[in-house]
Amino acid sequence: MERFSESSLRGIVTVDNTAVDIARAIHSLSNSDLVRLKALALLWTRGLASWLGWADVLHEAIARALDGSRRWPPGVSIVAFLSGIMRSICDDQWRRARRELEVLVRADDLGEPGMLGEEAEFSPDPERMLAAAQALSAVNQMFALDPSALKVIAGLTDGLTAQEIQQRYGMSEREYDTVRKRMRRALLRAGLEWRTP
Amino acid sequence: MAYTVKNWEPQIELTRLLAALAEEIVAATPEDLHLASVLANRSVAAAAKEVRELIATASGDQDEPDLGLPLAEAARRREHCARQH
Repeated sequence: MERFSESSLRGIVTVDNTAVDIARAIHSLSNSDLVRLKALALLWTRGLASWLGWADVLHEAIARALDGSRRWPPGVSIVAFLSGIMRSICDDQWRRARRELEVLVRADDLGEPGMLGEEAEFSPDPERMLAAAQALSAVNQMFALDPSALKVIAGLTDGLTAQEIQQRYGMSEREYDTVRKRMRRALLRAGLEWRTP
Repeated sequence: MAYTVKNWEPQIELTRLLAALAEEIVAATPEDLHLASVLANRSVAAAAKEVRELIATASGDQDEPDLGLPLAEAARRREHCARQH
């Protein structure tokens, strides 16, 4: 089963990459890679509600990559590297929102900072749960007309491997690959359409 | 014990799903892009243009005096400047 296309391997180097290498690689991105980046930014910002848009996240990822604060590991394509930074930015946003919520809880707690116990620290954050549930729903909605894609989505959501998904839903490997191709095109289509940043 | 909604952790599921879908986007072939372009009724070049402009803005923010400077050159100058200080 294919994991990486020839095009996704473009921009891979095998020695440590400097900021100059990163800048050069970003500057040399093909039109296809640029569309991939937008599709990835749209994907990672799902579930962030209205905190940040895809353009904000991609802009920040480019800025962080260029300022040299992120190491571009050898063997990783520039698109995958930038995708990782975008994921990290979105994770930071989640954590920041959670901290702000905790501060609000503490402020309501008669000014006693120690009152927020361990149980509260690790209890599910209802706001994040709701946003995550809405994001999952949005992804499902994207594939609502494709029952086979919904099965693959369910399997991926449960953390199953390709083989486990095929076994669970009685899919052949060929059928599974065909579904994945349709899913890729749907995801890329989102990156091709007009979106207000 | 029955599985109840109490055990549901959508944020973990979302993280898993987005990571898997991101891999799919990275692994997409030129043929996938071409077909997606037909479906979206928009050329890859047109969609890429807005991202290229965004990148130009992001790199310009990094190096205010040289907004039109190519990214590689801007980074080289920043590194050179950093070595001197």
